[in-house]
Amino acid sequence: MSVPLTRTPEQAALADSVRRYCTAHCTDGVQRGEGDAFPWEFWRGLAELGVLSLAVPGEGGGAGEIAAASTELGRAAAPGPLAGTVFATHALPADSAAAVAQGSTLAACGAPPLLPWAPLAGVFVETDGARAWSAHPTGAVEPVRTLGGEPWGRVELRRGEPLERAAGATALTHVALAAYLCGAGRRLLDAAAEHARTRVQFGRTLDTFQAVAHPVVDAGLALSASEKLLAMSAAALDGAHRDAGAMAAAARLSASGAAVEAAFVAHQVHGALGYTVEGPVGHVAQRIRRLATLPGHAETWREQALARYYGKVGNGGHTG
Amino acid sequence: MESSWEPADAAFREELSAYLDEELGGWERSETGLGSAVYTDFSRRFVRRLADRGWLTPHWPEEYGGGGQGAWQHFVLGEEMWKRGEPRGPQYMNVNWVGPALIKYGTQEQKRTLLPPIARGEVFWCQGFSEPEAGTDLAALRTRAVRDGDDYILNGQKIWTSYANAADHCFLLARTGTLADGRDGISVFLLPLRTPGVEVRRIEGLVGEHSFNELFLTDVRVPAGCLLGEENKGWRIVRRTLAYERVGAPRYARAALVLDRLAEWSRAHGRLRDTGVQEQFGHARTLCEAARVLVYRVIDERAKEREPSAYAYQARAAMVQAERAVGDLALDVMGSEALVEGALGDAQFRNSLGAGIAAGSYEVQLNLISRLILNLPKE
Repeated sequence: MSVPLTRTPEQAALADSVRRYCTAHCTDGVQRGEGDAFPWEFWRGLAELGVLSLAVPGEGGGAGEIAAASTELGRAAAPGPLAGTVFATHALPADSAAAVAQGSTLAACGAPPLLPWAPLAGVFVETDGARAWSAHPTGAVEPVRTLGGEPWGRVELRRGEPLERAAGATALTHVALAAYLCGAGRRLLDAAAEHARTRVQFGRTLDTFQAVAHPVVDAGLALSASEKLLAMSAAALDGAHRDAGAMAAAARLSASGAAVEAAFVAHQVHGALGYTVEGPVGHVAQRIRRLATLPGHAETWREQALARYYGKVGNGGHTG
Repeated sequence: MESSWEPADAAFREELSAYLDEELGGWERSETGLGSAVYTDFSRRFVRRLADRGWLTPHWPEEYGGGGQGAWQHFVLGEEMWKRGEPRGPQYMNVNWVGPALIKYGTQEQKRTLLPPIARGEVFWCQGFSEPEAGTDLAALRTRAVRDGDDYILNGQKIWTSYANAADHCFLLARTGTLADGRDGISVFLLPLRTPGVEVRRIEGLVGEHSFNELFLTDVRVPAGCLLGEENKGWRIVRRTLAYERVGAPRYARAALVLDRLAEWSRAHGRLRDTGVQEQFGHARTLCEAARVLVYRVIDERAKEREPSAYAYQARAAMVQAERAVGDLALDVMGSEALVEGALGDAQFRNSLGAGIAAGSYEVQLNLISRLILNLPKE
């Protein structure tokens, strides 16, 4: 391995500024989405920091920057359509992407009819996991509430122009989600470890019971591996490595599994406290579960990740 | 297993199923939310109708308002109810373990006054066990009960008390001895929740509208007749009660039904042809069946009037595995559609979250199995 996996000073500075911004502005109320109102002020603040335009081609942001910023967003349990923003701002022409990058409108990306953030979105992109099209709703959006209360919707779309940068947008979205999941998973695992260190039962702290400690360790191993895979895939994307897309898919699949495991462990260690609305685990775990649940076309990405090692293995999926 | 059912029990299941399908119609737990006001009102009406037919407490002795039927009928009832989202609401606890504990340990007076309202479906009970500092380590509980003439005075705090917001009585554990006495200083009290000094505060939970509650007791004065069994001898009542509670909710029955529906969904969406998906279904179904037969072993002991054994821990652990497997499968197979609030996948996932915590943590069940069944030493 000759490519360093540490962050560049610029990436570290970006992570630091996102962390400080979230500490100040991603309050408990913002994280949990109090009421049904979208936290526009918080979201526009991210735009001002440049976080929402990192994926815009030619803006100087790369996969490494997206990974650095998204990890902090995950750790802060920041709300908002991160994946859709990355996808849309990278894939769409500059004039349609601008409002999304400025945080003045939200992007809904996915395979219709069920689309994340559709009721609030002003920009729509359809993707089947490999190709993508700019799109327009042909009717009203039927709002749907999802696990944890995120606003999704059912909507029929009319496809517009095919988008040339679909593959790149898909890979950068994988990186953003992998990073967010790694950050959120770490947050829950840290919380679980802290609870285990301080909660006393049977006259001992919970961390002295191996039944408690080992699952925490296992989840930590999985997260560490995902974090490395994430850093590798981001470096590969920024270095235009030919396997970069497959590595990004692998990083997302890996982080999805690791974050779900961390959430599960955090639930189990916190006991009933984990199941309360106000507790430290519930809202983060629900977001992890939501982001880690793959859309129907995820087979494409599994095949893509596998193809890197074994050649094309699927039955006709898009491996480009 | 169906072939081994006694004809009377099989006939009972058939009759009960037909009745429930008609009586419940399209009623589903996911629509109303366990613990919600709608659910609670529905349960009160439904349970009274059940009681009129003799199907609320068929397994109790006739003298206490029961039907004198055996443990198997009780369990057929449990499966058919849980499968349908437990329309009895909180009252499944009454018939599963509150009533049996009163029958075994209660005085004539307690049985005479407390059992008939349960058998008629008129009251909710809740379980005042956990405290902020005594969760898994239940024997560390600190709520105090001090004898004062013909009364006891209760002070302390309970937490995670499901249904306390709607309940009439609480099956409450309190310390009559010292903390150093551990489990030998604990007594059971049958506390009417309308007693002055009792305050209930809601804690919002993640599973539908089901809420836990905190229960604050400040100088709560109850007559000595509220003590169940002997003073400081409450722990053996607790152990027996927990043994009943562990298998009281046949979660696998619901999980298996959800699995059937997920299979229908998958077939309709062309997912069932995928060999990976088939394997997941096979795995989850196996765990549901394993849980079922391990629970049946516990019911068999009960039917033969043996004392509850360590098999209850195995049954509980198997149920947790089954429920988790189906919850995970729902999200994997349905993908984004499983995230829609109230969808099959969402409901199963939320329920499976609590499986490893309720009625004693999964890890504790494993420790008990290790010690009591495998004879391995304590950690």
